[in-house]
Amino acid sequence: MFGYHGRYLRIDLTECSSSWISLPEETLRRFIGGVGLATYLMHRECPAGVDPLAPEAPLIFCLSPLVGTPLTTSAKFAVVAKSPLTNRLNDALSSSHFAIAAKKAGLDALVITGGCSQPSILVIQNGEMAIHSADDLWGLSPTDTEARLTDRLGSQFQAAIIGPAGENLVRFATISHENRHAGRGGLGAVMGSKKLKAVAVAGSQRVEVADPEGVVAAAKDLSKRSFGPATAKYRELGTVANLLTFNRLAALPTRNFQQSTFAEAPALFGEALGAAQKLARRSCAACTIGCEHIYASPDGEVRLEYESLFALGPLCGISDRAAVLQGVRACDQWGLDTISTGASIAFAMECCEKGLLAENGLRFGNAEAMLSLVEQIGRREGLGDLLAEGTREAATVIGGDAPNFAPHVKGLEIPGYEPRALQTMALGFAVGSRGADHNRSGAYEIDFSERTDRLHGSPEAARLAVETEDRAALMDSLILCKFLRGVFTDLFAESADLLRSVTGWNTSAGELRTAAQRIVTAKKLFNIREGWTAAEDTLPNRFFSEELLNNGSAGASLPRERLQEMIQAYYAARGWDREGRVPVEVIGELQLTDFHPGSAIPKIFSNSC
Amino acid sequence: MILTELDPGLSSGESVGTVTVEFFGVPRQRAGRAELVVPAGTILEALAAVGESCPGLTDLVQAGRRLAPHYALSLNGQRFLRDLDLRLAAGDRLLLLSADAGG
Repeated sequence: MFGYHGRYLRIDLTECSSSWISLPEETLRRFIGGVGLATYLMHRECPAGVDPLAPEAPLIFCLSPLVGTPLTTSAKFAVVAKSPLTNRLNDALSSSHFAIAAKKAGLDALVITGGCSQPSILVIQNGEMAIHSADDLWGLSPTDTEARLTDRLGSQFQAAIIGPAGENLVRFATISHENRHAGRGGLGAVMGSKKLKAVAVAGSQRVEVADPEGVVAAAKDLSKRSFGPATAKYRELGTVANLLTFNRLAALPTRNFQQSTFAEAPALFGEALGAAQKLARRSCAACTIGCEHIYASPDGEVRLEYESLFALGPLCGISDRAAVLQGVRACDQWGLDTISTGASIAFAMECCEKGLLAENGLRFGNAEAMLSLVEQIGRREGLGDLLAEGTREAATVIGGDAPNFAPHVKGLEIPGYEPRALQTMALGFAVGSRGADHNRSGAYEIDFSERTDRLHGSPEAARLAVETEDRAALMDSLILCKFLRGVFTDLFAESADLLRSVTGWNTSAGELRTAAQRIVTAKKLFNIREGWTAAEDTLPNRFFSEELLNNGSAGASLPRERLQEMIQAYYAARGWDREGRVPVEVIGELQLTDFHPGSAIPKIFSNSC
Repeated sequence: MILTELDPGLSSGESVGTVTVEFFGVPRQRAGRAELVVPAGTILEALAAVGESCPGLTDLVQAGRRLAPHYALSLNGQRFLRDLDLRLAAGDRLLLLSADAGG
């Protein structure tokens, strides 16, 4: 087998035991790797109806056939579990040396179940497991933990780590590696519930590729294209450049989605102002784009992305750049998802302004209160303890009108794309398997094009959104960074060429299109198994009942009926019924009939500590 | 003719017979400015005027009178378009953006 080890390691922390499970080539070809393969494993390994924070709930790290090759941006890994924030399937991606080291450790995937009785580190070297005490690391930030682990284990080990927020079971805690985060959906809390501070991996097991010369040639070509204009924004400016663009288009969520422009946006982070504080530009391992722009904050350096900037800035009505940078850095140190953190604070600010909460001084624009709440959430203290449950749960506890403006879909807080101003994206949020999500649906690409009127979503646009979701599913399974997407003329055909070089399979573009549809549908089937109904595919009431008043989107509204019409067009394009269920014939066409609990999985080898 | 200096009595984009091109993201960096006033005409003509005035933005139009794929255009911040033959009205504001406007 080329490109894979053909097996995954299942570890039971409670029993301190491990077993190797074979992954047949046929399965790998159907699900590729990354998010696709992890979704398959979730169907196999996750008990139906499990509490995401129970020991039985699996936490899966999944690699891909491209990891370890010289293909640019391929050093990525997926982390998948049932989300404690949404109770639905959650997949998050992160990057860099952990992916390469985990593959060298002999893994295509790592499935962790059970839990430790004391704070622990799971150490895997060349497929052998050991559990070490993490008593001295508990309470430390991810960056401090990473430094200590390097001292203790040696620089050949790479670690995925939780911060104090994960230890405290904040439902939007992240898993961090080299200060990059598998950020969304609270996977850090799943790891924290197992008392697992870190997973450290190392090894020397190489995976052969089918056509080494072909892979090198493809890598050179892709790298060359990655230096071109299609990635210039990420390379030269970073995603923070979105701030002024979205503001001009009146698509910048502001003050908990009450407005869509922020007058102070240019002062907060105009390009010239931003450049003045930029310290460096960095890359993930095996990446030629280099999208990470590092800025100076009062507390030290910080990597800044648009989503973090929007969430702790305009969404909270805050224009104090230093405070926003401090807030982002604090989230990194606590191990918190910046989008959910900012959205939770913005939601609380609106609750206070409406008299639903009596928190002193918590008002839009109060940077000091924002910084204090980040820490309270991380510690689960005071109001932070409630917000650490996520806005859906917090709104239920607060009551009154709060559920109407709690900014989430399926429990996942909404990222920085105003749904009324970007109505194809509104659909993407509504139907997303992990909730409001800008990485699993690229529907905004339709809104930012001549193919639709972004202020009047349509069934035609909904059908186009399906294609963006399929493209994301493929890239998240190969895995390649989505910042590369613009360099492909035909993603499916070119990906087939890449996969053919690595695996030796006679893969076609059509096969990969079907694989992408299979992966999207497999996620949906998991959610159906966990209790999903069509009622979840919606947005908070605010978006149906309040018009936007700002310039570029003035008068924009999203009638509930319009979104419903788009959802029906989306379901139809996927071959699903009007209730969003997957017909048996579609399950058959997509070769998903083996998703039933209890089917036998052959173990290769078992041992215990 | 490119109107880089406005009559002090007229605000940007409101002068008779002109449109304002606003730059965002990479185009702003390449242009070295936030906006440029050019004579009203077709979008193609407006982009030609931009290229003339901003040496970093001479790659806006590809063969076949097509907008280069790494750029996007929005008319007055509302409609996105790629039809370069569209005639702009005086006072219009043409937004020139990076095509990858998302995250």
